Amino acid sequence: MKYLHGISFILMLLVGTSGLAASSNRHLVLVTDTATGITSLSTSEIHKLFLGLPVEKGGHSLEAAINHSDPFLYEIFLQKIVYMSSISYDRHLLSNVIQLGGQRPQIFNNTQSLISALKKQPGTVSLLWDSDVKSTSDLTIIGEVWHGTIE
Amino acid sequence: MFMVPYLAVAASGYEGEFIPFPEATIHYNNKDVPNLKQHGSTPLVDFFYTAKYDSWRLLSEFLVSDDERDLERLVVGRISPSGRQVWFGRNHSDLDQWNRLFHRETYLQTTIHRPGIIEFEDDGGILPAHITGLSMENNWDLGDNNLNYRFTLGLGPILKQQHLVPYDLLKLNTDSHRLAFTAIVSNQIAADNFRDSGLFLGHAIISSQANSLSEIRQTVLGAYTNLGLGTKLVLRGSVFYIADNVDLANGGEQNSSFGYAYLQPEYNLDSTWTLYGRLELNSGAKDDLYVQQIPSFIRQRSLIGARFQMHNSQVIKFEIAKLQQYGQRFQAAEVQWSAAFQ
Repeated sequence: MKYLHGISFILMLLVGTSGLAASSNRHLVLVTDTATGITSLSTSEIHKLFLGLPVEKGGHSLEAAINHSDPFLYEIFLQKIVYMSSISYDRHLLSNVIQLGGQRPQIFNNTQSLISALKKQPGTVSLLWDSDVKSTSDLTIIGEVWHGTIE
Repeated sequence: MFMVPYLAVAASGYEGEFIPFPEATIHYNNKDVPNLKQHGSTPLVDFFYTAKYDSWRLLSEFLVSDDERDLERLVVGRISPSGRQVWFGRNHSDLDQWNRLFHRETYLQTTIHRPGIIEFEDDGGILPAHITGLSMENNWDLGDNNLNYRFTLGLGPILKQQHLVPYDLLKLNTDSHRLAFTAIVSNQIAADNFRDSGLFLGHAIISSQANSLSEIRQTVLGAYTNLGLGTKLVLRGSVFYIADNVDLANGGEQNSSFGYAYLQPEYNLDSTWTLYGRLELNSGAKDDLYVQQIPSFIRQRSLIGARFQMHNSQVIKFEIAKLQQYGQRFQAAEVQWSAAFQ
């Protein structure tokens, strides 16, 4: 099942990047609330943030929120941000919370709930499709993680 | 089924998590070693709770087994936005890599047991695994790597009949726990804080209630690595140098030292199956008068095993080992189920 999932992801990436017909161009972007005033994060900061490690930027303590609303988006997140399988990622988060305390990044299965949380909790960073961000005020794009076309 | 105990409240700046880690181990030894059951099962649960308010953190672990109720860890601390940490309370010591990576949670470990040299006090450990006092940690960003340092100073264990006993937060401690100090410096890969190498040291003054010993002054020096070789292979290894200066009850003194090393290769077949082995060896431990007082200390061991990780936060491990403990050499086969209820 895991292999099928991986193969389908690769096929989707291939199809996405080759730009076949009847497809839509999509951008997966890193977002936070506008009030936080952050314009970008380094690769290392993004990685640490989503592993649940402390990250400070512009005087703000940042928190990660995991977008679990779209399996394809989550696969890209695993491969482009944390570079590990879903099982390994869960184990890493557990280890870090046992070491540092606090709480693991919140998981959102619904895009609207995630957008609401991003607005309500300053300094929260997550991934969204750019189309979701464009239709939302008070959120700012601070980086692009992936772009391609999806049928 | 595993959703109920999870607690996460993100109101009023407070956040917290409660995660029970249950486990059950079934073992069979090929010899009937005194002090060990030849076959049997060992269930236990480690209840982990953490809370966060602003930059303040609380960490606690309470272990319940058929013969133990113990507050393993209870620390209150502060983590600055830059990552600088200060902790007060009963914490795990900084020796080697196992405490930082896994603490008490065997679910997170690849193997069923920790190496003998770094075992907890009540499981035959000969080094301070818990120190009650102050810990500080910080790191420097070196681009692709982080240089991390940590030290802990506080009350260490005492030696009672046949094992060490750490400072107990749940009882009135009438015994004279003396100072212990541990420190570690490590170079971590920024992209994966579980891949690191480092140097550690410790010094402890251990009061003794064992026959003929009055005090042990123990110094530990060591180095460790978690080396990733490609995406499949991980090598965990450590070397220890331990010097024990023992004051005898009759006024004499006996000094000795020994080395201990282990190497643990792990091969990830895929995201669920991991094959592993470990070799633990020492040189000179049998001549150390202090070590002789702790017969449950595993002097050497070779093992192979397999770890199967399920998607619902459960793990099954199968392990066979050849080891030396309680003055005997024997073989053991074990199966362990463990989980993180979240």
